[in-house]
Amino acid sequence: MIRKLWNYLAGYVELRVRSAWPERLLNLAARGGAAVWDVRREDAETLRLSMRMNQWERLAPRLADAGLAAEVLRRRGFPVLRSRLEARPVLLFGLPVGLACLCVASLFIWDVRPEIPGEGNAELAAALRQVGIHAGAYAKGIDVQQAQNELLLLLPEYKWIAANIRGSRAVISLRRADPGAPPEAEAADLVAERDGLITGFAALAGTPAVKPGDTVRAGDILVWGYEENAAGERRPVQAAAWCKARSWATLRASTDLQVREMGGGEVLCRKIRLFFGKNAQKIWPWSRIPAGKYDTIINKTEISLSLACVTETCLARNTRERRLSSEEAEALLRTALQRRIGREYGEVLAERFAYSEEGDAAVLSCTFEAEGDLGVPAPDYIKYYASKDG
Amino acid sequence: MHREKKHRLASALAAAADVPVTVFADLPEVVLSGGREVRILRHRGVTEYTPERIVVGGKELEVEILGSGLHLCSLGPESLAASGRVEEIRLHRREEGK
Repeated sequence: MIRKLWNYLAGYVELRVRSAWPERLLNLAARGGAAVWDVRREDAETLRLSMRMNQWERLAPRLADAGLAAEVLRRRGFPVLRSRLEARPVLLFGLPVGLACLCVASLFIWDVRPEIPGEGNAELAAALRQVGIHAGAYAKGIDVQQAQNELLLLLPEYKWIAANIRGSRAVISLRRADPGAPPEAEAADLVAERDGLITGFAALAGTPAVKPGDTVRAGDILVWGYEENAAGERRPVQAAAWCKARSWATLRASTDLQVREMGGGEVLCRKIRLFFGKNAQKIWPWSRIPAGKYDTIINKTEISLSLACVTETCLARNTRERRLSSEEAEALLRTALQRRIGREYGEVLAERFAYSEEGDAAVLSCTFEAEGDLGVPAPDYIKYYASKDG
Repeated sequence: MHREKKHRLASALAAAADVPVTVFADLPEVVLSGGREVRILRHRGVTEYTPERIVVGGKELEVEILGSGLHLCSLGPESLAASGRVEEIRLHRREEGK
């Protein structure tokens, strides 16, 4: 490679030598200290070879004496290129000037575009120009952080703006702020979720329709979804209130007395997977046990940050039938009912349970008094409000 | 006799300096690389050159390279390199006085 480069820099010629004994040229060259390469025999009297230009110039006058006829096929190398360029001075000087112009031009921004094509508008373009990001701006002179902050102030409809300057291109990333929902769409009355006696009430938004001590039925309006000013003009709002009420109700729950319980299961199979990053490598084949007939126990061992070993053990799902005792069934149902009452009705003030068995089913009913939140927003405010208003 | 003396002297010097005898005797040195390339140092010109046969002259010896697709990669005053499928290398000792 180095020899080739050196030959190219020095310049070389490709020759065709014709003679009854063309090897004489090789020996002539070797004796004259000239190196030849790529020597190829074209036929019995013709050799083709390469030789450095300066050595060829020394050798050429001696060929006739040796009875050799040589023809220069090509001249190659840097001297040839230089002589060609010397004949074209505009190209010789234009090339470095062009390269210099390219280097200087790369310091400026020539293309400003949003990251997602089509995003942005004339207002964005004007704001970008105002903060100094435009075609022809000196890229190193732009304080990107400052420009981003100014853009956010100029364009309030965007919640995030980033200007990424890559070479001669400025790519603007934009995220629009979530448009706020119109107040009318959120406006709603507050209605009673169930029957009850109001024990505490405070309207937080809207016009109150009830007061403490009132009895309401499910669906009755607790707070109207509008507010009136001194002039009697109504403004739709989403009604909100703190509303405590006592409720009385009877709930019923039942369960089968015959149940299936999990028993101990033998190990059916064990699967091991290695995770390299997010990619799993299976070491053991997948189980052919139908899904649902086994339980799995998964153990994960972190070997390193990117390597983890996951062992999955499949245990046979063995179940056995058993009949619940009355005490067990009642305790089960009582827990379920208490959870539901606490979730739906609030704090239980008084309760009474009645347990019975009907064949293979256990039934528990609970009559209770509870105190909790009563109001829920009525989503169909607009229609309701319009009818009231009309 | 004169050549014999010179050869003996060269051998003695080479042994004393712990270098190959070819260096002092100016004999050609042939390096064969895996049957694909032959490099000859201290040659004295190419006598014959065809794709099947290259004959290279040297002091006291003539090296004949036989094969197929042979060609001279480079030829300088001191060294020569030929590549191709080398099948045989023969040495022909030159006659006294030649």
